[in-house]
Amino acid sequence: MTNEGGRGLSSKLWAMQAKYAPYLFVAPFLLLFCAFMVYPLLRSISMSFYSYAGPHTSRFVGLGHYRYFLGDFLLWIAVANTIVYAIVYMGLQIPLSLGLALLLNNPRVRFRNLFRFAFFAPYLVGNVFVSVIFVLLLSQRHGLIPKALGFFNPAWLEVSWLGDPINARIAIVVASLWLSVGWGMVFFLAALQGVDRELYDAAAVDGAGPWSRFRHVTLPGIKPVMTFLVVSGTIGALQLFELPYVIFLQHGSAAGPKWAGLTIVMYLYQQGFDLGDIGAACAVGWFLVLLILGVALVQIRISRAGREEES
Amino acid sequence: MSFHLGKPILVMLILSVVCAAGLALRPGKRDRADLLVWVFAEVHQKTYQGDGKPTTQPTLVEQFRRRTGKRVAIEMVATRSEDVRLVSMFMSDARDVPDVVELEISSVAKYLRPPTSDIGLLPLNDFLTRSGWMDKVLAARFAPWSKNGVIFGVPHDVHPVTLVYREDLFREAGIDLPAMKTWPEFRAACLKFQDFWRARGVKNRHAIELMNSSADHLIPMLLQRHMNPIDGGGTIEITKEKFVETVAFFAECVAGPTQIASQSPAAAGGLARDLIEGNICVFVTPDWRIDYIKEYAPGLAGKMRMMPMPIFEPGDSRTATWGGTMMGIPRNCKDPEAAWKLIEFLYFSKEGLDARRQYSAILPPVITQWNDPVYQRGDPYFGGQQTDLLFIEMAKELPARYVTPATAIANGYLSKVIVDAATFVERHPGDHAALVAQCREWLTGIARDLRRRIEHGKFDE
Repeated sequence: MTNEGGRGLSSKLWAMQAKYAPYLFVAPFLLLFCAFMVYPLLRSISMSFYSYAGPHTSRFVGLGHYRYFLGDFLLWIAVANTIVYAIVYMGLQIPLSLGLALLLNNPRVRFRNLFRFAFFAPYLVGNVFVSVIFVLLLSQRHGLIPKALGFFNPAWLEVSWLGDPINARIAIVVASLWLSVGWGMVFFLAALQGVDRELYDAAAVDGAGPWSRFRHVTLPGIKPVMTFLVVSGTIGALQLFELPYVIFLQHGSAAGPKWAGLTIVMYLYQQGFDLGDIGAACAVGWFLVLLILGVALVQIRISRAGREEES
Repeated sequence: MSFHLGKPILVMLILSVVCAAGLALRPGKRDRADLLVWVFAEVHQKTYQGDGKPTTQPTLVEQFRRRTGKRVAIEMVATRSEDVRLVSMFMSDARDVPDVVELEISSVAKYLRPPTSDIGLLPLNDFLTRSGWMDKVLAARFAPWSKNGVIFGVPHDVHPVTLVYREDLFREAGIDLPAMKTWPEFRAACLKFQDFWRARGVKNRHAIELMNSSADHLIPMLLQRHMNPIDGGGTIEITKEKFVETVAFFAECVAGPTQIASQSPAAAGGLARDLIEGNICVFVTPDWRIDYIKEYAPGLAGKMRMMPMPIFEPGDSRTATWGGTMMGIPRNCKDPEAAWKLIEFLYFSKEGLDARRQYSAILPPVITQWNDPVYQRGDPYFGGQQTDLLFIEMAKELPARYVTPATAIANGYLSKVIVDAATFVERHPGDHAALVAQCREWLTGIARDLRRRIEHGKFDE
C-alpha cells in the first residue's frame, strides 16, 4: 500500500515535471525578452506622444512630434542621406563581395585562406576603429591617400576629404565597404561551396560558357544567401550611425559638412541626447522602424516574385 | 536515474543553478568612495589624482582626504558616454548618481532645458555667495552654466583665445604680424605673406587655420563682436548686420582670391605637423591648445609667438572664448555640502592651482589667482614672451558666451552657410556686395527655422 502510494506520488511528480519543465526552461528567456524588448518597445510608443525635458517635466503632444518631423527638412536630409547611402553601398557591396568570393573560391588562387582572412579582418575590428583609421588615411595633407594622390598632382594633397560634402559622402561609403565586403564574401564563399558540382558538369556538357554557368547555375544557387545579404545589409545601412559620427565628430560636427553625414539614427541621437527630448527620439525611432519594415517587405516581395517566376 | 529531457538539458540546468547561487552569494558591492567624480578630460583627471608617477606632493584627492576624511574616486567618462548616462540618470530621477560631474560647454545646454526646478543639477548660487566665490570668479564665465540667473555649474576655466604664429617665417617674409590691429589689415598681411612664399616655390603655405566646413573658428570672431548665434535671453542674433558681415568676411578668408586659410586635420597630430612643416602658420589658440602644441611640436621652441586677435572695429574684444568646462553637483547627490567642499578645493584652492599648472596652461576663472607669481614668468617656447600675462589681459576683455539647446543646431546651420558662402566666393570672386546679400538671405531663412525649433522644444517655467 505504502509502496504503491509512493510510486503514485513519484509518477505524479514526474508527470508534472514533464508538463511544466518546458515552460520553466523558456521562462528566463521570456522574462528577459518581455523586460528588455517588449516593455521598452511599448513604452517607447507611449513616450513618442510626449515631450520630455526633465524627470517631472513632460507634456502630451499627441502626434505633435510626428507632424513636426514630417515638416522638418533636416529629417528629410537624413532620410535622403541614408537611402542614397544604402543604395550606393548595397549596389557596390554585393558585387564586390561576390567578385571576391568567386576569386577566392578558385582553386588556382594561391594562399586563398590568407586572402580570405585578410579581406574578412576589417569586419572584426568594428565601426569605430575603421572610422579612426579612415580619419587618419584621409587627413588633409598628412593622410596616406592625399599623400599618394599628391604624388601625381600636388594640388590633390590639399583636397579636403572630410570637409567637402561630396567627398565626405564618398569617404563614408568607401569606409563601409572596406569594413563589410569581407563579411559578405564569407557568406558567398559558403554559398558557392554549396552549389552542386554536378550542375556545372551538366552545364559544361550542354556547352555553357563561363558567363552562362555563372548566370544559370551559380546565381540561382546562391540566391537565398544573396537575398539574406541584401535584406540584412539594407537594414544595417538604414541604421548607419557610428561610422559618420566618429569620422565627423573629429572634424567639427558629427553631422559632417552641410549635413553630409547626417543619418536617421544620428538625427534620433541628436533629438534624444543633444537636445534632450527622449519623446522626440522615440518618435524618430518609430519612423525608422516603419521605414525599415517597408523596405524589407518590398525586398522580400521582389525576391519571392523572382523565385515564383523561376519556378 | 536518468533525466527524461536528456543530459545536455540537465547540465544546463545545473549550470544555471550554480550561476544563480554564485550571483546570490557574491560578496557585496565594493565600497564606494565617499565622493564620486565624473570627468571627461584626461588632463583634468591627472590634475586631480596625478598621473601615476611618483611625486613629492600628494595628489589633490589625497590631500582632500587628509583634510576632510572623505575618500574621493575620480572616474574618467568619455564626453559622449557621460552625456548618454547623465541624461538617462536625470530623466529617470536616479538616486545612484555621481556626487560631482564635470560637463563640457557643448554638452551643457540640454541639461538646462527643463524648468529650473527640474534641472538635474543643484543650484549653486547659495554655495557661491556663502563662500564668497561669487565675486571672485570672472562673472562672464557663469553665463554658459546658468539659466534665468540660477547658476548650475562652477567654471573650471576662462579659455581666452589668442593667435599663435610662426614668428620666424613671418619675419623672413618681412611682416610684423602683431602690428596688424584689424582683421582686414591682418588679411592683407597674410596675403602678402603667402605671395612671398609662393614666389619662392612654397605653394602650400597658408597663413592661418580657419575651418571651411564648420563654425569652430567663425564663432570666436562673432564673439569678438559680442554676438552669439542665440543669446542668453533666447534672442536669435544671426540676422544682425554685423553677424552677416562677419560671415561674409570669414567666407572670403577661406575661399576665393583673398583666401588666407586652410584647415588643419584634428587627427594624426595634424595641427602640430602643419605648424612644424609651415603649411599653416597662425593658429587660433585658446589656453588649452598651448599644451598640445608644445607637446607635439617641441622643436618650434623659440620660433613661436602669441598675439591678441585683431578686431573688426572699435568696441570689439581682442579675444573670444573657445571651449569650457564646469563642475556641478547632481540634485540627487547624497552629501551636497561635501561635494561643494571638494569643488572648492579642486577649483579654487592654492593646491588646486599648483596641480593645474603642473599639467596644463589653463587659466583659472578666479581673478585673484591671476596675481600668482606663476603667471608672471616668460615662456621660452614663445621666445620668453609672457604668454600667461597675455592670456590674463585677454581674459579681462572676455565676451560672454551663451549656449542654449538650439545653439548646436544654429552652429550646424552656420557650418552649412560657410560651405555655401565659400562656394559663392569661388563662383563670384571679388563681388563682396553680392556675397553679403546672399549671406543675409541665407541667415534670414535660418533664423526663421531656428525660431520654429526653439518654439517646439520650449518648456515654460
